[in-house]
Amino acid sequence: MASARDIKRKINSVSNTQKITKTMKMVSAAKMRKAVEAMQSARPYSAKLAELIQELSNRAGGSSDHAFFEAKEEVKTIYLVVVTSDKGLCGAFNSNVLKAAQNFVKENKGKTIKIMPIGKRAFDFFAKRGFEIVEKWVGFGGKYTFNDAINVGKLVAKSFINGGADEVHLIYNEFKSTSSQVVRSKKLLPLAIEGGSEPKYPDFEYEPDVSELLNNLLPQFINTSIFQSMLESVAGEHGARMVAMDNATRSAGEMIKKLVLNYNKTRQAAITTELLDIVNGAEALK
Amino acid sequence: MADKLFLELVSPEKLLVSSDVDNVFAAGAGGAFGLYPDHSPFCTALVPCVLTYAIGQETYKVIVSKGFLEVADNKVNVLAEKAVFVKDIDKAKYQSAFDALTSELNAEISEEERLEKEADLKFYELALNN
Repeated sequence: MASARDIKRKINSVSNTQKITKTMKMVSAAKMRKAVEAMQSARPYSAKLAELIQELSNRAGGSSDHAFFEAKEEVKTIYLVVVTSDKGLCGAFNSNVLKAAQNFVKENKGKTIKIMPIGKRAFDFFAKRGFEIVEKWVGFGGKYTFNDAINVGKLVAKSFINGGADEVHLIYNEFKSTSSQVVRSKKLLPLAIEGGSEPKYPDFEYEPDVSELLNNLLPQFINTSIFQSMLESVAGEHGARMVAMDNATRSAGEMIKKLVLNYNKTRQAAITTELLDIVNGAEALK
Repeated sequence: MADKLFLELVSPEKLLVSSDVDNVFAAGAGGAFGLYPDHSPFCTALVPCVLTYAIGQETYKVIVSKGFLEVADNKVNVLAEKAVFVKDIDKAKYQSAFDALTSELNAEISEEERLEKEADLKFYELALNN
């Protein structure tokens, strides 16, 4: 049986851990609030953009000849954009995304899958498993600006147009609420926007013409999708970490309770033994 | 006959304006234009410019980079890649971004990138001069 001093030491170490997890939880809570705000303020833009593109493609009669719409006859190479966090300690947040990405790879056996990781976790995971990394974006610490998304979007668009990639998919965590993130997988390219329904306003004026506008809008649409996924992922990461740290704090508390009980028992046993020794000694002297 | 326009100005980072206004002025691919209530449906690509709008006697200025503007049903939607209120401009920050872009433009870059960087440069220039 461990001595009282050993147990005491353990109690101290666990309560130190508890302090750390508690602090991490509070830090995550504050960061999450900011991240959620950023995410929500980005939503109107992407909503408006999608609306505008829909309206324009209706007008173009679904006959846009932009390269983004062109589905390849034979899909050989798929680029997979995987969005994770840079740091761990956030429960199953990253492993859920990575699992989904791995399933995706399994489903597409025989095709070449190249990875574009956003976040260190994804990069480490796929680099270790020998996947080809197109380019990595790590070390942002969850502070993404729209320019970062543009950089990713540009590379995605370029590789699709010059034939490097036949399809581009995006896998990320969507922020549902603090305690729940849902893994989303969507096809970025080729674009699937349904055209052909009646335009809302018949007498629209366009400057420059419809197809040119649409061509300007489409890359922006890709960038926004990527930006949105980055922000969702950051908010989700902090939410997941908050929950994970809350759980850790709670289990540390329970562990401390058990250890204290154990400590008291051990101390009591030691006292009893000592008393018995004294009594026995006194008895022997009689 | 409506007497107000509803203006919504969004950038990817935030929603800047969402209110009733009397008029909006900006510059698009086809030149500068003004919008008043009951404008016919219209959609244009924006070039970097100073977008101004008025509420009563007050006028507000926003610097926008390239983006899109759509007006229909007395609703104006502006989607700008970058947008900032003139009163919120942090001169030092914009100056350093401006300088960085200028030096990047002096280096060898592809035509495509040059066009894009020039548009960005215009945005910062406008921000600094207003």
